[in-house]
Amino acid sequence: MSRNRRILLSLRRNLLQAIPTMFVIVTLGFFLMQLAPGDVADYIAAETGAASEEGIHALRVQFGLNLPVLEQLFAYYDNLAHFSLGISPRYGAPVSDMIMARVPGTLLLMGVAIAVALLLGFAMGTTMALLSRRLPDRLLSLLSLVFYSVPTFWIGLMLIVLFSVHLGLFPSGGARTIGGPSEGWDWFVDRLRYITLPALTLGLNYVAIYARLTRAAVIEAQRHDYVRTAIAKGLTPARVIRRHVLRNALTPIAALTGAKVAGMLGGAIVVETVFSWPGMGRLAYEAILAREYPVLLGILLVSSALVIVANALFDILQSLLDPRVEVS
Amino acid sequence: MALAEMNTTLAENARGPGAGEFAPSRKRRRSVFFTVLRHSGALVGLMVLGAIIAMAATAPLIRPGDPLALAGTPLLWPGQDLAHPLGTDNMGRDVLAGIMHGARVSLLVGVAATALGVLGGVSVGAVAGYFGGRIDNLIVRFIEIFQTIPGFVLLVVLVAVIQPSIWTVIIGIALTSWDTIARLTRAEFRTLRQQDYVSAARSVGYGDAHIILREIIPNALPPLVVTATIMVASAILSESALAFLGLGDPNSVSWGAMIGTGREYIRTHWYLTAIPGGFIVATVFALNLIGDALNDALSPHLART
Amino acid sequence: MMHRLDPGMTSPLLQLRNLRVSYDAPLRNGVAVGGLDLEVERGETLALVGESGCGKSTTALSVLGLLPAHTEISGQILFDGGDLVGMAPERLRALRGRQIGMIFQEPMTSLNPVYTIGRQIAEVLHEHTDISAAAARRRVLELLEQVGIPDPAHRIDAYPHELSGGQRQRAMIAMAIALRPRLLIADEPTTALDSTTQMQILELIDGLRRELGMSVLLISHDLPLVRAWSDRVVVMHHGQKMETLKSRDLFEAGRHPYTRGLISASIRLSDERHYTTSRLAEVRAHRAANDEFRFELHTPPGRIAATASAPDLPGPDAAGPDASAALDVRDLTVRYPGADRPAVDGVSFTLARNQTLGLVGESGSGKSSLSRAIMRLIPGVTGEISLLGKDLAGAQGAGLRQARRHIQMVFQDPYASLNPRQTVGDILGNPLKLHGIAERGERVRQMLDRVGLPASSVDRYPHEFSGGQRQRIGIARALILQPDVLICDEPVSALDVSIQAQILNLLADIRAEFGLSMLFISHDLAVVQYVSDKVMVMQRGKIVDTGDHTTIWRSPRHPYTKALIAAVN
Repeated sequence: MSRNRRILLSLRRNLLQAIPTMFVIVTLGFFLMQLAPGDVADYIAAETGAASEEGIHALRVQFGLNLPVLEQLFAYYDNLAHFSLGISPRYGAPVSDMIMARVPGTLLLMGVAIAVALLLGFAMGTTMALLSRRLPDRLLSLLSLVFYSVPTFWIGLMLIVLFSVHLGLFPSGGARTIGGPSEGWDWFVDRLRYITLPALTLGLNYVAIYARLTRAAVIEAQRHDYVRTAIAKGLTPARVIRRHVLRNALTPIAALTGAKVAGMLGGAIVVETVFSWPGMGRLAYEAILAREYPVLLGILLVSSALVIVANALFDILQSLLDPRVEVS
Repeated sequence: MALAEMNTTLAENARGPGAGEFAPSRKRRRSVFFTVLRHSGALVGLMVLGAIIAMAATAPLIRPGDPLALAGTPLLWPGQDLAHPLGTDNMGRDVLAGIMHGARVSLLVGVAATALGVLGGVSVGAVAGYFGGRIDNLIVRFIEIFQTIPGFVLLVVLVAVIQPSIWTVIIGIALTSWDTIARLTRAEFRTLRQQDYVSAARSVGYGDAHIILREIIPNALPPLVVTATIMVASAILSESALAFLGLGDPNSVSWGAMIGTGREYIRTHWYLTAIPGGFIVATVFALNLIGDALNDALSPHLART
Repeated sequence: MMHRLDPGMTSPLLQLRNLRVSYDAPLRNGVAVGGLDLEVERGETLALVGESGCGKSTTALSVLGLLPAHTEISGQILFDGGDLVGMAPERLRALRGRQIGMIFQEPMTSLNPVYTIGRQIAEVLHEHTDISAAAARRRVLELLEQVGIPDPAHRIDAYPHELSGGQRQRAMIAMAIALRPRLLIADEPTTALDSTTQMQILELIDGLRRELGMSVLLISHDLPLVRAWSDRVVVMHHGQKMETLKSRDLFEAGRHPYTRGLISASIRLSDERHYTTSRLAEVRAHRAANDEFRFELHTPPGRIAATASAPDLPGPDAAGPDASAALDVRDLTVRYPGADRPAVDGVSFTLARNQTLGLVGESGSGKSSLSRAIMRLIPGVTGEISLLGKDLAGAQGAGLRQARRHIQMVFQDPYASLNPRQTVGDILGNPLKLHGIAERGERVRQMLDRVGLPASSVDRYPHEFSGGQRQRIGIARALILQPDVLICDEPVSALDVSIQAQILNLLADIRAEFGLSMLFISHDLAVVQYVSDKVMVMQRGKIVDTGDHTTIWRSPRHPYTKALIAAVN
């Protein structure tokens, strides 16, 4: 099967699965919102101080909240079909605009975190596997287990104490210097300084995950007969490891990276909160404080959609890495 | 260069008739309990976890009363006043009392959420994996949906919407963690139900209940136990993250909430953040160590020799 | 190519002197090869034959330094005069793939699944020579042609999983001979393949040996195969050489009791042996106090009476189920969801009481699906099954449970068929408990004794036993309910030949003793010929040929039966 055909088939399958998945998530989200105490009208009333019964009722009619639940549900589907997530009562701005403005920030943070975690984790895992059961392996194993056990928000705060408060090396929050450089090398360095700590924090758990997975995959690969074949062919040890051990370990690593995107989006909430990083997570925290449920629901939907897209991409990557992956 | 590792075929050959006579080995299966104890990491893990449990158990004796009540001068550093060995926070609350009572919350949430999640996940996964067919398809799609929704985001929305309390936190964590163990259970059941010994049990005349309980579960248990241990650890992490975001039970003290409060004073009084975080790391690390040791002790590669 | 003036072109190409290998790994420890001496002459095929655990694979791996970590090796491995033991890694590496090629048992796992076969074959060219990419591709195409892969221009870009087992092994061979090595080591090269493919691969190896002037070190467990495809044979046991023989008179000239035992236990189709006329010799090795082995060859006494041939077996075309038969199957069809053709396609046959019906077929022919359908273990089955005159296909609930007492099964894999978490006592005792049978302890002990296991086995777990012992446990479990019909699904194909003989003798004895009717399924024609009274041949889900145990081989009707016979004779 040609490469392009595999990609197309994989995309098609993902798209076909995404539609019912999104539908269920949307419906689930709608009913979740029904559980919330009070509704939008109550909030606006509380915000504006217009607490009269008639005022609230007028608001309910305006938002369609006096309609039966099913009708509200269909109205909600209708809105979503037009990419509308409603209006934020507090800011008076469309929720979708608020979220979309924050998506790039989160994606950037996650992308850098994944890259850092992959690089460090793959290096750590390979070292551990090739020196397996010896001292460096045991020490690195322990270290990775510590990385895996640390709460992200806490390690973020500790990094701030050390690197921002005491050493002054990195800024403690934000995404760029206000009024700082806007282009060129200086801009890049400035952004890099701001993203270093949050990306490290978000990536730390994943360094551990990748390190342990790589170790297991490399050790497993060494048991395979094809590694013995490669040695019997007279390949140098370096080539055996690169072409036949590490290359084959890539497939499970890609699969895991895809599976962990959802978890990382959750991690972004706390990390962005700690570092005041302008992303979806930070917006979620603000929405929790303000009890802005439509915003929270919007973030849930958008992040689920992001996971679906990420899964589709990683599926393609996997089918390119391993010709045996079924894509029909 | 010995790049290749011993594979099981070569190892199993040692029992072949070509190697001479083979008497049933006198080596009995060592109990998992003892194998785990021989693992030094597990020993450390069990000791740390034991200490945390002891702290939680003795909290009402050593630090009686409400840990959220004012106890002394605010913002005392650890060691400054022996009455408050771990210091006090901005409201004058005793940090040690918070830590000890917070251990109760962490352990309760960790164990209860995992128990709920395992119960749900194992039942659903077992049904899907054992019976297969249409019900399996349906359950798999359902699990996939849960794996698409970022668990922690859903947890935040759930707890925020239903209002935080210790039980919403527990149920929320269970709801966002059952899918992992359901998937694992399904995979195990699917593999095991095709084993010849399951076919043999069915040929003898056993029904589904016996086959699930006596033939499949005992063999599926090792990976489930390991996963459950790790789930306790991540439930504790989730609870602390929720509390840090202000979504913990407002009426009980929690390590994550202590960090959330301490955060405001991080430039001047970093110990308020460092101490509860250290306890979270210790607890979670201990659980992960135990999980690792269980995994080693129960792994099939070692069970054969 | 490396040319070197060899002072004595007549000296052996490969010489092992006092080779000792011992393992010290978590999975296996102890001596695997204990002081082995042998020579491979130039241009000859030397076969190393023995049962699993004898050290033949370890010997093969040690030549190229492919032993796993935690292995001790001593003695000498002289290749063309140079000692490979302790040779500098760089020099050894230059020999691998270039002077010495190697192929393995499992072509599927021996090829890297993520690269095309063309790339994997070219890799060996690039490693040892400065060949250009285009030239390497031309050479690979040539090699694929040479090893008989059809349509090389297309297959060169195929991944291993896109090829058949035989083609994969051909690709492995192409890789091994790419640089015209002087020695080819073939470690059980055909064990994973169907019998029709086996012969083609061995023919190919033998042809290449002559064409390229190679020597071949052939590792195998299969005496008839080795006799046909090698010049000399070295018989091994517990890491030592028992004797060296000329291959062509292997079966006649073998003197060592162990060799005699293997010979007598190896059943060949052309010998036309049958359980009623010839018992299989069992060879047992006993370790004496001084660690030497003493071999004991013994043939079970007694002849087994020919089964009272059931009067006028009604053919499958007779109308209605036959109540006098043990098992009667009509129009049985098994359809798996998503499969394009049924796994079992309208099969009908009758198993008469006190008879053994053999079922032969290659992998994928549907014979296992058939056995599982009769045992009521799989869904998607249509057709009629009647057991002792009662309907089995439609039985449900308590009726089905009752019926199950009368029909039991022995499985192929002695490792997978016993629950690793139950003791032997539970495995045998629980079925009795389920069916409310009393005196359980006594019955379990008797049954263990009957299948040749010590009474102390009761509280042991399956992993404590060897493969042959586990198969005895499997047989005991099948017999404990005293069934009338026994289905044996490849019961000996995972076993070594001496164990196979013991199990076949045991099955023949208990069949007579318990008055069983047996459906015996195997891919091995000779084994089926030996144990069966009647034989059916299965291909692609259909029974294509049936006959008496002698006539079906002497005068096969269906072309497929003829092809099967041609492949082993």
